[in-house]
Amino acid sequence: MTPLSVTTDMTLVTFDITYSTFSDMDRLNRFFEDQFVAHQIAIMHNRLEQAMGHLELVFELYRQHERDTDRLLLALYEKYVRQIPEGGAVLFFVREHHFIMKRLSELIRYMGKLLLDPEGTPLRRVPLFEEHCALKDMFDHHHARDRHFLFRYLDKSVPRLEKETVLAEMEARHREVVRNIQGQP
Amino acid sequence: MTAAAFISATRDFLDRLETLQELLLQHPDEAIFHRIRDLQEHFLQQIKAFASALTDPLADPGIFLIRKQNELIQQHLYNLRERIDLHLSTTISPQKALDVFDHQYRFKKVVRKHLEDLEQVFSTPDNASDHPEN
Repeated sequence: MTPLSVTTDMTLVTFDITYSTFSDMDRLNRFFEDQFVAHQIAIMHNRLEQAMGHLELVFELYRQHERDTDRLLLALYEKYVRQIPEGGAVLFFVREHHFIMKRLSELIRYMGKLLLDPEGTPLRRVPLFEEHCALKDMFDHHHARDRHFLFRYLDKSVPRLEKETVLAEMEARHREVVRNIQGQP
Repeated sequence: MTAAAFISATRDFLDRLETLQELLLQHPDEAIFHRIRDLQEHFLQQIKAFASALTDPLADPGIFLIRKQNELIQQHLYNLRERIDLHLSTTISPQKALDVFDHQYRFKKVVRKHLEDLEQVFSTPDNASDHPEN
């Protein structure tokens, strides 16, 4: 999972993704992946506060994305997709979100300890980065499921007006999360 | 090479690799890429030597499994070598170190499973006579 562009300075993180279609949300998934790699690179450089900044961004945005998906997207998916395709069952999305959020929460907790108590919290990079590998594999897997089932079928099935309303709402919320986490007005 | 010697060599390889990976994640530079490449080449020679000493794989499902895993690990090692060589052809970056690490993660899972199976297959009395020898 090589990033398209990695922001090494938290002040430069911008969220310039617009959602005209559900498939545009695949760019949000790439944003998660890029920010996660930026988190890893910051750890490699021993810039732990910066690493935490990137991780918080992934965590908060993912949490919002999970809420939006569960509350809005999966509801539309169930409402408009007549025959849910094999591999695209609602339960898969819910379970994978749960797995990803659990892993991200554990990483946030660990990074918090590392920042607050560096003496008492050993930084062993190999096991930590192997945890990252497990999470990145899940990102790959889950994002492929989003791309091939959820986004694709929503684009095909949801009426235009409803699509525009939901996407605008989500885009605004995602921008707000990025602004808030970076303390921007 | 006996099965016991190969098991010991595999454990040693995993330990050494972890030490080098820790360095890779702290100071990703050309020198550490070369050290990892050399270690993997050494293990490739060991795993080939063990493969050539495995006798009659079709006679025993356990040995057959070990041989198949051995081939898979060799393939992983060739792929990793290719990847490292490609990265070494241009300037080393943290992203390249992560790429190597991520591929090693999958490779190490295969090696760990192989180690478990080796221990199981070569600990049974039935296979005592199949222990490959030098």
